Amino acid sequence: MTTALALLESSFKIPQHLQLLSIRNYAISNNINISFYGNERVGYENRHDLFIEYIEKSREEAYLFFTIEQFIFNDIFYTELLIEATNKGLLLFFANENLKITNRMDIINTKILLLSKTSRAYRKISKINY
Amino acid sequence: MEITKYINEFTAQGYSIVPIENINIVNESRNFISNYISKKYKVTGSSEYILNHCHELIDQITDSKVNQFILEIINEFSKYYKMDQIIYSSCATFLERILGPDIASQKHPNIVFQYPNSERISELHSDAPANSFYEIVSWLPLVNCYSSKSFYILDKNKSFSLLSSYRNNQFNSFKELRAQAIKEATHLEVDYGHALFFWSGLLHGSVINKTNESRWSYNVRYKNLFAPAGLKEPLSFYNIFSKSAITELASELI
Repeated sequence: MTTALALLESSFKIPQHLQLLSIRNYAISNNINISFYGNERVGYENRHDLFIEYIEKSREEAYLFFTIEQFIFNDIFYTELLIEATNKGLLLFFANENLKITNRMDIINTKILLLSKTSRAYRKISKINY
Repeated sequence: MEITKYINEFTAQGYSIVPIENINIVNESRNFISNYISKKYKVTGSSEYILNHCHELIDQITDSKVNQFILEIINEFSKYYKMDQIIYSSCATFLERILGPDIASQKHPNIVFQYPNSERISELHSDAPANSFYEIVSWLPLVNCYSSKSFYILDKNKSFSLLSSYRNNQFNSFKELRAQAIKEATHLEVDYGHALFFWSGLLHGSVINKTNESRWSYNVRYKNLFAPAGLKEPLSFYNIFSKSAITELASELI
């Protein structure tokens, strides 16, 4: 069984209790033991101070995030930290996306799939045809 | 030449029933399901017979019992098979011509079992929206499907026309829209050995199965890897199914 630190999305656009439900459900389905829960300092999420410190101190073997959105700001997917973590052999899980990242190829594939995330395009088409 | 005919048909009406070019893998997976049922209920017979008459084996059949039964089958099936691979391999030429070599497939494909007189039908709907308008739905029956054992579909023009009328409040209720849709729809006949492919924007649904046989089918959705994902979260809804050489090269830099 893998043990992971759960890191919630701290803007809390999705309420905390729903994030916890999703995280716990993912952990049960994937045989993950949650060591502790935490979140980045509110308002400074994109600095990932907590995550960086934990990586540097090798405090955990795995991290369970609520969503990959925690690494996306202004439509840019920031991969540097993810690459650093996987280079150290850490396992990264994302409950909302049912996603596991363990190596560079996983990060590339995630980036490719994110390219198709264009709900604005859907709305435009929807308005024309329906 | 033959494939061009089906692609033209797909483009013109939004759907096409395509003969499977590689039946072996479909046969194998169908036998796997019927063998599972055969062992569970200690019955013998051909795969076709077991699947068609499976509902007779379940004591006092209910929707919740059926749901549990199908979940067991999906769990067992997914240990040995990838449904997106089965359907793609069975109609690879057609699908690559439609989608190109960069393909995303649905992460959690479905096995559908509809037994006679079950009221759990698929109500009139189109997959897109919320699914991507760039998606193709594949539907591969494991038994011959006909009349109420199959389902109905409205081609591109009829779907557009009905949805436009609905948007302009020309129907008093959803019930009226559904009645009109069923009246105008094509009630499909799809024999085993064929797959139905349809565009995600088409209206479709099923009615209560009034035959004495059960319907079994696989369904998986595919889209071009780079096409918009609609309102579906791409990471939770899709897998990368295949990448072209140029995408592999570009992947080195992103």
